[in-house]
Amino acid sequence: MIPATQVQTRSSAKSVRQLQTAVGRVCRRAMPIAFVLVAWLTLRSVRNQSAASLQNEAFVTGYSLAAICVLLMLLGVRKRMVAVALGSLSIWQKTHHYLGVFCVGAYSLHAGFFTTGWFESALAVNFWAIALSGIVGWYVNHTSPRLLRAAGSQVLRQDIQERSKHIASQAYELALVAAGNNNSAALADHYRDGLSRFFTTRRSWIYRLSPTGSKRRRLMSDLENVDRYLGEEGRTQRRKMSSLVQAKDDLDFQRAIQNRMRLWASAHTWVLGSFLVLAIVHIVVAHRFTSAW
Amino acid sequence: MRTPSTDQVAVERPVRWDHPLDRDMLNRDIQWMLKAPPFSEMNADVFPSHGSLEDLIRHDSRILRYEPGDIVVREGDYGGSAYLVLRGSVRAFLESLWQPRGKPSDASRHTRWTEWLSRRFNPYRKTLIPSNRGNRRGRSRSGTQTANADKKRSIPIQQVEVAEGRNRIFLQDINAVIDGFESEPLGMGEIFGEMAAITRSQHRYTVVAETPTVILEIRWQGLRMMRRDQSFREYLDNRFRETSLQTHLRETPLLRFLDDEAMAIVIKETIIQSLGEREWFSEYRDSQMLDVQTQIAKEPVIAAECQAVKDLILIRAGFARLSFEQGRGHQTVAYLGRGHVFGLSELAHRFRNPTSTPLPYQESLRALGFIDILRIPSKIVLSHIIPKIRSSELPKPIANPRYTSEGLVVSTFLPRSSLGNVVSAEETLTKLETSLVEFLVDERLINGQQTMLIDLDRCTGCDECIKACAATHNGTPRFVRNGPQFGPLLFAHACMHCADPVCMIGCPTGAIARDQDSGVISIDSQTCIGCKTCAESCPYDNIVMVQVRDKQGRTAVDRKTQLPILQASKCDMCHELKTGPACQNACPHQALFRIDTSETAPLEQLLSRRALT
Amino acid sequence: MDHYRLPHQHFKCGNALNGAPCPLGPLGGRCSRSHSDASNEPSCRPIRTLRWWSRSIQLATTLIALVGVSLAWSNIGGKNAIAPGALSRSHAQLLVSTQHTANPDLAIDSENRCAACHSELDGSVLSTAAAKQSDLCLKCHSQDMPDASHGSPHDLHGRALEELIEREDRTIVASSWTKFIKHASYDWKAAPTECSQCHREHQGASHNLQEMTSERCQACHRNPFQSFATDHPEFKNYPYGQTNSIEFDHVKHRDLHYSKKGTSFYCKTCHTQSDQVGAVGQVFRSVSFEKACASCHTEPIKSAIQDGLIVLQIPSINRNELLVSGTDIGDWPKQASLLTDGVIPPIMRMLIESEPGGAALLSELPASGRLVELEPTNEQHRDTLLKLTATTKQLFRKLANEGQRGLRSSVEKLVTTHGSTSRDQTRLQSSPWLDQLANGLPPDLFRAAWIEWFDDSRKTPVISQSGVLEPNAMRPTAARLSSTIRHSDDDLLGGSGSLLAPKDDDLLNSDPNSLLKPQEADLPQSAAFKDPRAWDQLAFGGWMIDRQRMAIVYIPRGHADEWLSRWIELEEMRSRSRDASRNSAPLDKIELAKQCRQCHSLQTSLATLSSPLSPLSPLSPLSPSSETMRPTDWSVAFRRANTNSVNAYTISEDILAVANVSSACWRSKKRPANLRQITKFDHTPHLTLPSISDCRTCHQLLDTDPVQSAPNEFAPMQKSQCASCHQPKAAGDSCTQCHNYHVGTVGWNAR
Repeated sequence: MIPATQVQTRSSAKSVRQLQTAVGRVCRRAMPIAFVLVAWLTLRSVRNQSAASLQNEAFVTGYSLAAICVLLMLLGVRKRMVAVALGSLSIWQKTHHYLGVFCVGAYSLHAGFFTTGWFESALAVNFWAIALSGIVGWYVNHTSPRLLRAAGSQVLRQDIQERSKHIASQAYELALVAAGNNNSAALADHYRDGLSRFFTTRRSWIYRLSPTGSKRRRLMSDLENVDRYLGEEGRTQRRKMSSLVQAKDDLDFQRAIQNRMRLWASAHTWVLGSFLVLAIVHIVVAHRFTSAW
Repeated sequence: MRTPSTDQVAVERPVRWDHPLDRDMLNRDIQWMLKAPPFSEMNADVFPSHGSLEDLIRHDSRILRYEPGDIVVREGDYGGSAYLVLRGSVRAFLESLWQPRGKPSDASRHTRWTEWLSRRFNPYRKTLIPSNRGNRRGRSRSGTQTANADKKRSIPIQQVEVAEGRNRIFLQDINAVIDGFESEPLGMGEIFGEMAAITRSQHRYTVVAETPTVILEIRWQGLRMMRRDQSFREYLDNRFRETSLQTHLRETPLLRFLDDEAMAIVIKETIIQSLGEREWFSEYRDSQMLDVQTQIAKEPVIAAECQAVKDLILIRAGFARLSFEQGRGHQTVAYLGRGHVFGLSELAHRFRNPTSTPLPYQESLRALGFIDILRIPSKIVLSHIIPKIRSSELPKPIANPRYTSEGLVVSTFLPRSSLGNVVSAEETLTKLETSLVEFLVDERLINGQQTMLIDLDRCTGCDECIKACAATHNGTPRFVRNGPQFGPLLFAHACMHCADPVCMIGCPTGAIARDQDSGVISIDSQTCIGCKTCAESCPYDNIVMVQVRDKQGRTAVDRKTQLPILQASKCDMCHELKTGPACQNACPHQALFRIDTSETAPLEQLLSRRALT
Repeated sequence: MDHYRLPHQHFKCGNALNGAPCPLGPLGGRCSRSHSDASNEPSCRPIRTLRWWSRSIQLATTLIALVGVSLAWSNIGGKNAIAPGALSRSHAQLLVSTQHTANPDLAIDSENRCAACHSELDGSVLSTAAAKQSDLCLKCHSQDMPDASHGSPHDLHGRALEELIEREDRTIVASSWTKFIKHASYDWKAAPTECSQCHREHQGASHNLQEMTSERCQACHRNPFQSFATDHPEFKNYPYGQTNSIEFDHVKHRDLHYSKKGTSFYCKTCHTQSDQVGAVGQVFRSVSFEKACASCHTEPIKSAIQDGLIVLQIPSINRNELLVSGTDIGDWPKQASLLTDGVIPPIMRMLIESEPGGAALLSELPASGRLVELEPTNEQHRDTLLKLTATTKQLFRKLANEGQRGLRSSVEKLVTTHGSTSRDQTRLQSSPWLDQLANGLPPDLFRAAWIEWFDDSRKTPVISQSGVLEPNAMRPTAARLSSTIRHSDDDLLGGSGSLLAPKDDDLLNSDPNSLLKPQEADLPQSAAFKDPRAWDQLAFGGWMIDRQRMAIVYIPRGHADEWLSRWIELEEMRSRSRDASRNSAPLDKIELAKQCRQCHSLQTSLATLSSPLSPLSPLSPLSPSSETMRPTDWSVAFRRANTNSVNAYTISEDILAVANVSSACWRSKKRPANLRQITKFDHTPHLTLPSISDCRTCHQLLDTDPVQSAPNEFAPMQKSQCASCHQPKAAGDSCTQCHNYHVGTVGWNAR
């Protein structure tokens, strides 16, 4: 049968393509990692070389570190110049990631993982703040979108607040309507007792840090329990209310996750300025106070 | 009278015809033209006072002068104007002069390896709309070539030189070209290019000046006004059947082996039909409120399933939904665009086995918005067309029909979707999952040629795309990172540069126009008067009225009313950037693409790639 | 889609909460409606976006950083703020403590203690003129490494450095890729080495400033060196091959002497000293005579020296024969007048030499030294004898009259004849060495001898042609004597006590007053005292008259007698200074010295000591550098007069100056602990290991009877012995474990 054969041929072709792309993906991932590794080993050998020739190896590693940092910061520059043909940003981003990993490696060669001295420690703290925030940010950016997809259709971060306000007012009106009617008054009571807070206030810090569906489930079940006190139209209203609860919870979830993503992204740049200042001073100091080189 | 505050600047509110097509139209010429046909035959009463015929000519037209060999209209270009021959004569070539226009070889090689590079880095990078779309026309060309390969002829060479300010493009050795290619002369008082102008489609043929020629160019806004005149409208329609239809049929791949008399018969018998509102967006808006089934029910039916096949249907412009009844509703199999044919497989089945009873239409075809179709009666098809079709090009036979002459076939062992003919819907069409097809159709996203697609599995909402967009359009972005959503695919509110740009319909000043080469539709801020017409007519809410700001970010307000001056703004594909759309380049996560959803192939490629990586 | 959402806005419209944001949005933090009264709608309070917050955080952190940095530069925070880490303990406490110091340019005030090491901080922070840090380091460290300032390899320069580099270049292995990869050459000529290149400060209090990776050594030592076991060159006769001034035959002692005595032959008894630490730990090449040798060697020495050492002896001469042949030698003891015989003892020969014309006289004496060969019939021989007798009397008279000064003066003459070209009188005057040579000589013993043997006051004066003592000449002599008696009397009382005991009875029987009484001179004497034997009465050393041998005898005080050793030294160098022909005359050899020379090889010690110290010998990692001498003392004392003849040694000024210097050539050479050498070794950690606590595991005696030519009776150590433990994972095999970079000490490179 033609459709069947078509399906077969299509599926086989698909599997082939899958294989190709899988191989391709492996290569895409493996090659830059290999690059980073090679680069790190090279830098390490160069450092040992200079140490063996009685030079101050800190300068070799230090300046390569500085160069790497400059390259890393070029991403920010690139983001600001859209008109110029500099290749798509995704490439820059990927390069930024791998370069960042290399940067941490180079740093470990330069300063090790523990630093002494007030000034140096401050610099190190800045560095680690930037590096770690970057890593965490990368992870969050990598995982969050799929989480968001689970929570209804996407809402723009700018619109979340007003959306939730809108939902809250809808719930309120629904409750008002319910209050008017005798066989749906229980819904209004329920709203007054518990739901109103849920609709009008923001969620707890714990929820914002790690959003879970537990509260929604509880509210839902409570709402369904109200059914026994409701008449027919009361039930329909209750269903509306449940859907509103669902919407609000989805919104909160979206808000939490999106805020998390934005926060980490911006946290990456928080101490950038001070890091630059300290790094420059560090270079000056290094040159001033290391005699004999 | 208050003084405007610092962050505002008072300006003149732009009005229509601020920017006429040609500033220095001489009154003498206008008067002279008004006396000559066709304008002399029009009755001025049908025109409103604010837009009299004279105004139309003054503002919406200009006089062009051509030397022999100059190209007036080039096939494949998007036509914005109709042309009226005032003096001299031109040649319209009924067949293609060129292979699908490509860049010179070295340039192509260059682009090829840059392409290669860019694909290495960014597999989703897509080039802009090719200035002549679709491979079908390409195929038709090659067909034509082979058809009269016996004629010894060379590909005509275009040359460009700058004369009186504008660069004139002309053909070398025009006479040889005229000998080599089939063409027809157009003399004084004849109009050409009007179809392209009205249907906002491409020019089908190339027109070259034969003698020193004077031509009046009328841009389509003006032409629409002129159609108010009865006689003029009829005149245009007649002209269409003579020239445009023939060209169109000749370009239809199925008919390319027809000899002239057969073609003549076909042309004679063919019925031109256009269904749906030309301004379909308004009722589309209303119908969006309704549920899908009623929407489909409201759509004008071109051909109903389970009915005898009366004629073969060619789609000239617009889109049609291919569906069959599924339960109580309609399941959309595919959507057909320009150049697709409907009903051929049924006819082929009948042709193959003439003894058995003919099959009825296996699916029904519904008009989506405005659509132009040609109906060729079945007997003509069976007698003249199908015999001339290569058997390889004939659609596959219908293995298990959904409907027979008795009616619905109840099949126990096959899903209904696998029944019926799978031919008129090409293989590619069946690959997309039905729900997505229906989504695309319902949302009319099938119209888009540069649809902005965001992969929500990748998008982190970092707004880099919007920032980039804003940066390229001094501070104000041109799209919103939100819109209809299908699974992980978000079709953002960004101009899709539609195949059928309804937004261009209402524009009084022609500020919104399609670039002839790239096909990009952009709004000229100089000529836009902020009348909101396009914004309202866009079915996808992709045009936004924004306050005009100057470089300092001050908002412009009307001198008289002190109200802020609005202007329509929409994505212009960053056409002044070499790098293509900034949004796509700026996405750090490879989540944003611009793809052509009027075809399904790009979307499938994208989805398959997405599914795999 | 009603309006665009503007990105990177710092504020967003407050009405957005009400779902009605104004399309224009806030302008610069203020509601746009508050700008224009075009619309009468109420203005909102714009909301700060995340972007605003992050921007302000960025600014804040940057500001904090700037402020902190400026504080660090200004003295508020103290410069310590920018210190990359804590100083190592030694330096840290030093910097704080040395605020009040006697040396003003070492003073450090606690505010900017950084300036102590960073001269950059003297002036403004950006002042370019800065003293080199190494100089600042050496402000404190110049005591123990004065030559580090040169920044040359191993603090060496001059010939030492050249030799070092030559040796390094010689040993370079033909180019290997490893050398190419890992060993970058460091051109010390271009940039002299700085302290901080190896000693990294600010690494924390517990950081060891001296630790250094072997790679850094390889900067100059370019032989690819992976591990001690594989790449270190094999030892050459380590740690032996060093001639020693005390010859000790381990094999013989173990097999013969100890086994005979039945005592166990145990290394540590002689070689360890728990109360002091030497250069290689508590192990020493030899310990004191008393501790190691005395138990067996005291007795033999005693018996050997009991006959004593003849200082002056009256040669026996046949006076009558001479008289017959018409030569009168004047007074001469009759015991020594029977026949011409005897030999002039070496010390007397030296003294004779010091007398005017003495050298000539010695040359006239027969080569065998036996006076028998002198024929009275022979005119010349008679003359010689006459001179001899005269010189002898002269010596007696001199020592009797001038006493120790006389002896010293004659020794001085010897020194000046054989000694170096220096004629510096003051130096000669104040030479303790010479003093020791004359030390303890009892003049009145000579006087007594004179009176006993030569005083003929009671006899009638004999007329003679020449060399006759006039009888009247005796008076003044006697008077002179008496005066000298008194003079030498208190001289005695203040004299060295060692001689008091024997001298008392000498005084009694040789009392000048009693001498004046004629007849009761000898009889009661001989009746009263029996003739004393040396070993009876002078059991512990001293001076005596030996009437049998007609000699003045010195009996040494057992082992290491100062006076004797001085005279042996004198004899040694006198013999050296002689030209080769007469050098080997046995006559000049002091008999007793043979005893000493059994163990003390004066020759070798002098040779090794006096040869200028080769800088390479201790420096080269290959040389047996365990035993080396300080560059001072003997090598300086005995300096080559001319480098051609090895044996031509002369006394230099230094020996005259330094008293105890000469004693070094008797003792076994000890390496000074404060001398830093290329190769270092400490026994202590090794001896703690039970497996190798027995010395013999490393120092194996060769059982084959050692030929005296080969200096080492021990099997040279093999590298494998060390390499068995010194592996990277085990005891470690870094260069600095066995090798010093900074070598030498004060004055190391002096020459």
